[in-house]
Amino acid sequence: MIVSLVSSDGKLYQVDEAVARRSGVIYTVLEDIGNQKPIPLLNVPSHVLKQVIEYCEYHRTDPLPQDAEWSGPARAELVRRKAVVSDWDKKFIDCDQTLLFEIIQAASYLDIKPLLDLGCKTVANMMTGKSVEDIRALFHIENDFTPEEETAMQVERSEFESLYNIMIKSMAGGVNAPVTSLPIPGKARRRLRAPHY
Amino acid sequence: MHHALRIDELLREIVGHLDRPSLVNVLRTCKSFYVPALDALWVLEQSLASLTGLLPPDVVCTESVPSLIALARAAAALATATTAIANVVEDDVETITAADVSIVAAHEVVHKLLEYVTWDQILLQPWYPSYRGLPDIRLPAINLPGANVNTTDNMRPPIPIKILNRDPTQEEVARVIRRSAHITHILYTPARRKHSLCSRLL
Repeated sequence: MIVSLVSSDGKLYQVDEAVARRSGVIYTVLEDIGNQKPIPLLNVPSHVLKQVIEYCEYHRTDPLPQDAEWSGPARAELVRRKAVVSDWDKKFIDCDQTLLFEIIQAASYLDIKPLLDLGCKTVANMMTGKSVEDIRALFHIENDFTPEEETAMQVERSEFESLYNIMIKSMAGGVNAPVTSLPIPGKARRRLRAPHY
Repeated sequence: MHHALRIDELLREIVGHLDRPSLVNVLRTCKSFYVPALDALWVLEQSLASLTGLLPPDVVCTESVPSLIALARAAAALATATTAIANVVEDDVETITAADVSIVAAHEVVHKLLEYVTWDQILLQPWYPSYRGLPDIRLPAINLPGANVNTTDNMRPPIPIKILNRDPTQEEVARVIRRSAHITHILYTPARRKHSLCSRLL
């Protein structure tokens, strides 16, 4: 059975029903109103839809993810376990950044979770191990933190690191281990030196 | 920046694949990445150390109460096991984890413990605690030499204070912990909590 899909720019694509059903949205449409008319996909332009169909055709025999499995806190674990990306998927998703984000958006819109995860994983890999500046440059992100907010983050971080180390040591000593003579981080000490009285 | 990166739902999908060091860098890149990356950081949090670190440093470092951290730890373990957990946090946190409960319990234990410590003991410390970091803790209406007690605090009913003039004994500490097991609710505004959580994690 053939399903007709219309992209946002009006191009008609005809695909197998098994391929179209990879998308949660199209699956629901087919279940609810049947396969009578072409299905308009208003948010997906033709060059993206072409890619999405290519992905779905390659993965047409994969088992569909179960709803319960793909929602809730268990999902994060599941995603981590499914860390292996096949060579075909790697090659498929190796495209320019704009198309990559368009595919992610289309996967989200069409509810194709494996494709959404593939795209997000790729973006995450691009971010991994990079500095703040590198990430900004890579994705053309404008730094919208004020200098005050940035300084506050730095100060809090350095203060917390010193306290964190003390905590780790003291917590290793058991519930009744006395904690004495803890140094007070700088900002707190300055604040405490001037009581309200 | 591609507009897909401004969609919270997609950002959350992306940061779900990142490890801890990368998340710290990602949340510092811009404001729209901040909250999703921060939430993802908490999902990866394994130990209670960061949570105990949320206690204000002036409270944690109280030398006259040497086992505050240990108490917080014990309370955390205790609170996790009680049925009070579901009622503890009433904010926008989707899943109430043991971690959420621990920090609430830790705050409450400190609050309770302060009832057992003499205020002059604390005030005489060179680093007099400000209590600004603790939610809903007021200075009690007690007269100390040279003390000018805040009038707005006096308008509220004072917390009954037991003056011990010594450090609490193990039995008293145990009683404090037992009492904290009955806590079902604590006032803590979501906005403040978010800020506090994030700044301690960075």
